[in-house]
Amino acid sequence: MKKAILSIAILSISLISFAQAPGFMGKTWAIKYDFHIIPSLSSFPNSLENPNSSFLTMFHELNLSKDVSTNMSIYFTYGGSKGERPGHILVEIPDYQDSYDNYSEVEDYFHHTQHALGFGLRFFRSKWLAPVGVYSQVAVSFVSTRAFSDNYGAKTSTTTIKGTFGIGAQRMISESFLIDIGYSVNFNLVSPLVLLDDKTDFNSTLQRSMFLKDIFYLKIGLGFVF
Amino acid sequence: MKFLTYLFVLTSMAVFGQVDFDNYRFIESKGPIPSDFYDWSPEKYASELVELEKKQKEDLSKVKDQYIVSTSYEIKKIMRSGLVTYNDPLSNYCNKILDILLVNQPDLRKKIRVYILKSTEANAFSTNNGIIFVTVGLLAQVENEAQLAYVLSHELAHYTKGHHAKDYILRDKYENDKNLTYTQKLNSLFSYSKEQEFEADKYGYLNYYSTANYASSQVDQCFDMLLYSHLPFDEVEFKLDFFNIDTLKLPKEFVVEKYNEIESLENVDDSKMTHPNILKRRIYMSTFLEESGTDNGSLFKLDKEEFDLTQKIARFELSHLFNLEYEFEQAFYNSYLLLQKNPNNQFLETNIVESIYSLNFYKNRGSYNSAHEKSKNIEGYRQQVNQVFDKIQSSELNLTALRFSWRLATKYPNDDYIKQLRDSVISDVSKYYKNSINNLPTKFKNPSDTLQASAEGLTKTEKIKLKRTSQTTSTFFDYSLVGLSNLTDLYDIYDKMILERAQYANEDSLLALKNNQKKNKGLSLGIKHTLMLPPYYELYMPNGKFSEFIKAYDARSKEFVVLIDKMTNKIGLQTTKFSLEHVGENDKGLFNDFALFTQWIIQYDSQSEEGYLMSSRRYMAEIAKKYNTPYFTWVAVDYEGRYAYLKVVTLDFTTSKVMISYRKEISASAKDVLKSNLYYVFMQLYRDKKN
Repeated sequence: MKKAILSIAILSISLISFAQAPGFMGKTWAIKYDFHIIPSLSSFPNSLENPNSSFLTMFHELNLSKDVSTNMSIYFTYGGSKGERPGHILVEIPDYQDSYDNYSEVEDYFHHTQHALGFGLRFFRSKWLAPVGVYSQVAVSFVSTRAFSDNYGAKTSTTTIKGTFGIGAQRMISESFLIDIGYSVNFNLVSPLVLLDDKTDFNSTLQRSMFLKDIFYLKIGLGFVF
Repeated sequence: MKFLTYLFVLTSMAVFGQVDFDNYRFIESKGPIPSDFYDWSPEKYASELVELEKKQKEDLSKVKDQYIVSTSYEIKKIMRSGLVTYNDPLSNYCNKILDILLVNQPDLRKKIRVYILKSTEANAFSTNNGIIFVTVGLLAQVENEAQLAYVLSHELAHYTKGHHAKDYILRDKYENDKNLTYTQKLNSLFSYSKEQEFEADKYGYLNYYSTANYASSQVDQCFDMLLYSHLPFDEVEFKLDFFNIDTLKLPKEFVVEKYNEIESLENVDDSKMTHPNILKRRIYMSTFLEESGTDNGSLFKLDKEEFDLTQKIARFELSHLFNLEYEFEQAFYNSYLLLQKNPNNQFLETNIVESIYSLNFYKNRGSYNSAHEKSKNIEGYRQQVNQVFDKIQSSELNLTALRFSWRLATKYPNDDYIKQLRDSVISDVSKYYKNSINNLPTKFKNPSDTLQASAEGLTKTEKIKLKRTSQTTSTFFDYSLVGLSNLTDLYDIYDKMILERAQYANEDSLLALKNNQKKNKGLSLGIKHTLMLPPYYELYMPNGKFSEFIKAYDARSKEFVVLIDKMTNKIGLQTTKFSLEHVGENDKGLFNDFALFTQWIIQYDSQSEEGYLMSSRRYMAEIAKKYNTPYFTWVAVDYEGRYAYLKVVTLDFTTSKVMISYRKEISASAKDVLKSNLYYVFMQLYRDKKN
């Protein structure tokens, strides 16, 4: 893992150092705020009536990009989200003799907080010049998620590597500002489980939930080029 | 396009002031640039519309917008072609004649402007807004001032009678008439056009020509002049001695045994023509000419010397224009004719060598038919010139080009263009003879000397064989270089051109390689200063109101110019713009440079073979020196519906080498894309070359 990160870092630095990209009128850097909407694909448990949680999860991202050639940009992102997800918790049944069946599955909402740090590449189609135009992107992020249930006191955290493929379009709305609209497909590459509370299988339900829910991101962004 | 009515003319012109024909260059415009060359604003269209409505009684309501816009668009194309001159000796002479024709009509006189169009075709035409274009070809053909006055009278009549607008209305009407077949529509239009020509003949004669008291006999003479205007300005036998030297006499098969008959097209079938044939015009005009009675009119009202001078300038100009128009044999013969009375004229001799070089260039590349016209199709004495170029073999033409260019370069050693011409010929010859001068089947000594030397030690029969060989047609060109001076230098230049050719080919492939390798990074050319023509911004006419279109066009064009300025300034790329709007009275040279430059571009654009030393390059080194850069950049954007195409080309105009050719499809509404592409291409021009 360290080798991979190191390789990416060296590649990025060398691209920045040696490339002569035109950017937008000579401006090759852009800092951008992206607002992602993640529509849920998972169904809500029937037992949970009219929850306050949103059907949509929102993800906020800060994005620093550098155009390294006429058709390619590299970028670093930091993003995060807060929300609630439906899930299952195994709750221990007191005085139950059979050690195998002394857990009961209950449904609840988990509050979660997510932080993501990533690196990606945008490839602009040949008729465009980065950072303007239609692009495809590929990215890798390290995602840390913490979650807990108020009702049952269960809490956990996971760290995964998320892969992203997406398409979008960036256009300048003035000499210095751009807008970005697009969508992406995301999936988890690694899902280590870290149990914080041995009375639950909280993590597995959280993983399932995230896996189903965090697939399609719709994005709108506003950036400043310099 | 149709803002014109054609009429052709006669001969001669005059001018005041002296022209140094020994150092002749080209006709130059002088003084402030008339607004016709640069004012295409919506306001101007609006004022032209008002003028048109005053003059035109027919219902123009449906087509007036389209009419003004489309005619103005065409006029604009002509005005910025680089082929139009103003306030030069030729147009000044035409203007003096107009002063005479319209002495009693000062208001009309104020509306009429005459410009010279650098074309070899004998023609004149007028536009709806009062411009009369007279071609150089016409001025070279007219035989006296009266004939020119008649042509101008005819064009004036077209203008005052509003023929062009009427024709447009009729065209529109026929086009929308679904009951007529295509042929019926055409016939109707041709028929109407002929009526207009008759009317212009009559009205011009009665209202301008005869009132100015020009000789009525010249109307008929003018028709004769027009009838034969496709032939050179004079009929003089071409003597093969022009090619011959002591050691080289062209053989019999080069001589035309029987010249083609010069056909009269007086009564040609004109059913598919816009103009009536000459016979019909003669007959039509004879009635009015008879009514005029005794001919007391003048052939010349201005000084005849002025006419002679004007005619001579036009004919000189013509010999260069033919080369520009790839009519090399015409240029050759035209220059030959002028050389009879102007021997040792550098301008004409250079034109001759240009013609031979060009013919040789195209023959070497297997596209001789695009440069040469077969003698069987030629009438008159020019047929002999074409016969020579019909019969000559490639090896012989290479040697002839070498001889003529070498001789010229020796005669005018300080002329850089002539040196370029010579070197280009040598480059071609070296390529033809596979890079070794030893392959040239030529001797540099007199054949008798050669025979004398080589005959030593031979037997009688061997000597006879050797002598017979030297006399055969197939080898007579071997001696074409005999007698030329400084031939030792030829070896050096020969080797130099072989190297240059190899280097150029190498550079070309390197450039292609770089282009491929650096596809994503672009080029680094290190160009800090470039000349630039006004950017061409083409917007295709949408449906809807044309007046709105023209406003949008005007606004976008201006915006485009501002954008280019902004990008070049931002990068630091220095540009000298041949933008006519910005030429002040103190930039007199700039317009002429613009014209030369545009001619070069037109020729560059139309050349079919790479590496050709175009005749328009004659003055390019001068321009490079004057503006301190050999680079020229052309920026254009064509809009068509949702799509637009940006084109940027930079060339070294002293060598015609393409430095960058950038073409990209962009979204029509995307200003940011346009900006980023312009920036990118200018950046590639400007940024320094990497070692």
